[in-house]
Amino acid sequence: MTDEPYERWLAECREVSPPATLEDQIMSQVAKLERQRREIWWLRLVQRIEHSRAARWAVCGGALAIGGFPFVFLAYVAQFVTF
Amino acid sequence: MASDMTSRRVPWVALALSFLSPGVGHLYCGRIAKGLPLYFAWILVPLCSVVAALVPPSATVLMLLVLLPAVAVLTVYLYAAIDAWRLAYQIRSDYSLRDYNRAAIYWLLIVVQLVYSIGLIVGARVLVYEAYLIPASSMSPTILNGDRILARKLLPLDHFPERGDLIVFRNPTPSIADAFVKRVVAVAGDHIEIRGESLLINGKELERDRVPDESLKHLGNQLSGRVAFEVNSGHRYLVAYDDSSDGERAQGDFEATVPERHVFVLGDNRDRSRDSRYFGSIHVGDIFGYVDYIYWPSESWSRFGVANDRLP
Repeated sequence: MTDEPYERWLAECREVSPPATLEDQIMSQVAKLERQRREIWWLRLVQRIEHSRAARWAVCGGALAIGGFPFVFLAYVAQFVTF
Repeated sequence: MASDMTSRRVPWVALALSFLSPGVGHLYCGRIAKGLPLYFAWILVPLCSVVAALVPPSATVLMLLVLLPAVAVLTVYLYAAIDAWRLAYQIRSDYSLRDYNRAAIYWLLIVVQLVYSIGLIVGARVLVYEAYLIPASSMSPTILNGDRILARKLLPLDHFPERGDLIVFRNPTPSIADAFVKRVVAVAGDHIEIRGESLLINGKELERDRVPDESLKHLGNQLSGRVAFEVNSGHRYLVAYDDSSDGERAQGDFEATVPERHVFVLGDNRDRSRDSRYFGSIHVGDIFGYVDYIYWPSESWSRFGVANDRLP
């Protein structure tokens, strides 16, 4: 059993030729998305960090320095270290 | 709840998040049930300090109650970081994002954790126990220069200092030290007289006992002058006097009556102490805490332990 209205719609679609500017429209959309991605500073930063081993170490080291601060403070309060 | 969106888990991001705040790396990897206990591990430190202050235990038990939680939290911190990295490494891609997998939530948890962990430490210091490094020898031979002591601040509301107590109080002089450590020798209403080396409370001279030489070995190089046991209202403690009697004494004869809500304090190194003989009696409101322990002695570890002879 065939679905005639659907087949007719498909045939009509095949006969329609795409606009000449379609390729340009698609390419400009892709370029726009890429531009937007580049404008998001933190996304750029994450991508750079991801591609550099030294940057990854630096980020983890910085996180350790910040996250380890309560331990340093505890040692200071306990007078194990003095400044 | 998991959403249809998938994402990969980056091991170094999990590690960095866990370094910033233990438990957040697990949330990043979708392990909230494991992450939350790790996140709240810092509560152990003040909780155990409060228990130690409410039931002042022996020095060894105190160290277990104060040091072990700190070591446990440090262990949890390192474990959380390694485990979060391992989890992210195992998951890698095709991770279904949860509701809580948002950068704003991670940052909020990190800031809250930093604030609450430091807040708990400050709270324990202000309200429960405070540690002091002693920079002078005015309390020698009980507390030596370089000793680290613990002063208990969590006390019953009706607590009042007794004769013989070791107290930390607000420095009443213009010098830079925030606090002084001295011994309460007389309380409100007492009449105190100092005649040479004799100390009289309400007209009764305090007993002095000779100290065997072998008992003084633990004082190391900091032993100077003559040392004796002094007995005051059931407390028995060491006091020192200079050998020379050439008038270098801290102060000559002295007599006073201690006002209401005040205590009279003296250093155990009687000839080398600036105390109530100089700045008068101390108001009880200026007392910061009561010295219970020497947790890091400067000369010999045989002096490690209880400084307040009312404790076990």
